[in-house]
Amino acid sequence: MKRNMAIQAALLICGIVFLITSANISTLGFNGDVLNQKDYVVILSWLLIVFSAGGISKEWLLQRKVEQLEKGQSTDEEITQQIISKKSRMKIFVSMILLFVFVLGFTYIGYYVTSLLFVFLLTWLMFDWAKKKWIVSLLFSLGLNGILYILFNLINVYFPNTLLF
Amino acid sequence: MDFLSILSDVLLSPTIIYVLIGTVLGVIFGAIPGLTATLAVVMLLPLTYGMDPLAGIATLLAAYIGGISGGVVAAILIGMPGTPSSVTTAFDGYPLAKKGMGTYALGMGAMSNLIGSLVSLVFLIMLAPQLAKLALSFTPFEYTMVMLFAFVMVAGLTGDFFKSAIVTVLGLILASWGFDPINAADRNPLGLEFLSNGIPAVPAMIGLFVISRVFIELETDQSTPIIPKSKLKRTIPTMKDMKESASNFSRSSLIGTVIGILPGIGSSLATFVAYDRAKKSSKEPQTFGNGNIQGVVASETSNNAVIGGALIPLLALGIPGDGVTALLLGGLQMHGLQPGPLLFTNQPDFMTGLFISFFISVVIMYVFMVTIGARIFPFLLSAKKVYLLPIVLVMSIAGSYNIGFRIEDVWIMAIFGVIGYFMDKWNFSTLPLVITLLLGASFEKYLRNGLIQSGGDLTPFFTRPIALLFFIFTILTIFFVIKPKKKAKNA
Repeated sequence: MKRNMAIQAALLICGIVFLITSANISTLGFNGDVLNQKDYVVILSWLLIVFSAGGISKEWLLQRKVEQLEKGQSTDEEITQQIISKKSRMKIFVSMILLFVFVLGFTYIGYYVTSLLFVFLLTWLMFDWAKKKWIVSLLFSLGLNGILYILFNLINVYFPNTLLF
Repeated sequence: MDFLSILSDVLLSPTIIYVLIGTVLGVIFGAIPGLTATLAVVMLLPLTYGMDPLAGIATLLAAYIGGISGGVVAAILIGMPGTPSSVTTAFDGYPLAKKGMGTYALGMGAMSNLIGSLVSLVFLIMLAPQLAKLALSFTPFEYTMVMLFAFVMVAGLTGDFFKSAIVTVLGLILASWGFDPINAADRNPLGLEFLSNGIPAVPAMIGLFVISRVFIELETDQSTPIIPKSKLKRTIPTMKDMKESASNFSRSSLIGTVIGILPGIGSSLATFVAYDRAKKSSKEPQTFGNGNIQGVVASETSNNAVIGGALIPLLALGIPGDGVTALLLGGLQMHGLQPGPLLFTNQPDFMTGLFISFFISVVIMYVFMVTIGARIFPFLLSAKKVYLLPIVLVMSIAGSYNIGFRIEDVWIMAIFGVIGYFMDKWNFSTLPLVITLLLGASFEKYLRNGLIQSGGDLTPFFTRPIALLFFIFTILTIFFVIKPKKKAKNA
């Protein structure tokens, strides 16, 4: 519930940021343009601020009710779930970083070279970095990229001009 | 061109091959848990760029039909719905499979897919042109109110109304980035160069639907097969089965088509409504959930009937009814086709060809399901996530780049993949974001054009008959969303 409030607060801040940055939008246009490009964003930003503030209030009221009922005690089940999900959470964050590195490599180095490394690392990560599995991951990555190379050339899938390929 | 010429054009051109590939790929994707019809369409979307418009859109439509239909396989055989629209299929299909009647359930499911699709096609052919004629009388006032209705409808029917309303507003702000549609003024609040042209909807959708799904799948063990192997025997239902299910077929087809027409509701709701109606109409409602074949029939007929229904507002008004039709809208725009009333008057051959392709795809789907599919899926579904998920990721990246050959699109896909994952974790629906990203710019254009026409007067938005009708629908939607929640709260 506190997390929900934090998200709504983040959205409220977003609304304020959009409202402030809307000052930079040019209002040049014609006289008949009743709702100009700036006003439209200003209205939406205010709506986001109001809705987010409403969301925070709603969560706060809900939290108070729950606290009264449960007196803020977390159950053993909740704690266990948090411990279980810690490992997979780390895996997800690492895969997110790998994805962004892949996109960066795809931009400058080349699709197939980066994909080879990405698939290898992601597969190995999913094998929990097991020492015996690195060769399986590498072979899978090599095989997949070989197939993709043939397939993409066959169906004319294009990639940007990069350092390698 | 007359009907026979178009028919022969479709049958004697590469279009038929593309439809076959699209349908089979869709069925395979629908059958694998975690992969959906949306992903099949997403993956095929950039590949259709080089095709002629009919072949391209027919391929995407075939993948849509196949993807929705394929969900029946995993739902029945392993109790894991391959697509969200097959959730209710698993309620009765899986217990039937456990009783050794998996083949029977699969056969009835495939037949339900066939009937649901064909009934909705009839409605599509009958209603879409009429709706298109009506839409010709639409001015910016009507379009604004229709889109407002779609936004409210989506926000109201995707879980928490309040959260979805926030996402809708956020989506409208994000859709306003780039150049404004009236004066072409630059709006780039974060000053990031890659956002200078705004946020393209399709790469964002790939991120929200596919990449985030991969992250969600990573939460569970990946070193095990997704499903155990299973054997199938006979898959053709008897005449007796057909007679017993006749009323369910017609009722569920109607429910699916009607709900499909309404923008933003999606097939999941249609299946729940149809399932509920089938249960209430049954003489043995207590058997539902324990292996009543009518549960499978209701669910699978309605989810396929949604396809034709969802295509009506898409083709006649340019409004996507769900995530997949939002992608189809992207596909149509990519091929230079603007969905709406003019599509029917300016492109009659294209429309006829599309209806023919729809029919062919449905037939291919059924034949494939009861012959090859029923035998190979147990093998395919035993693939390990550890191999499947990397394939999905690298294919999505290649697909995103090939939409507009812009690196920026790939970044947007990756960023929205992360956003989509956290939205799922925090119980924020991604559909309002997708709908607003796709329709936000048009909404602004029509709203501002309407205000220009009326000289700033808001009255025409509420007094013109069709605009008023959609305004009433919007108010009713808000009312019906809030009322049951209040009731539940009081209870």
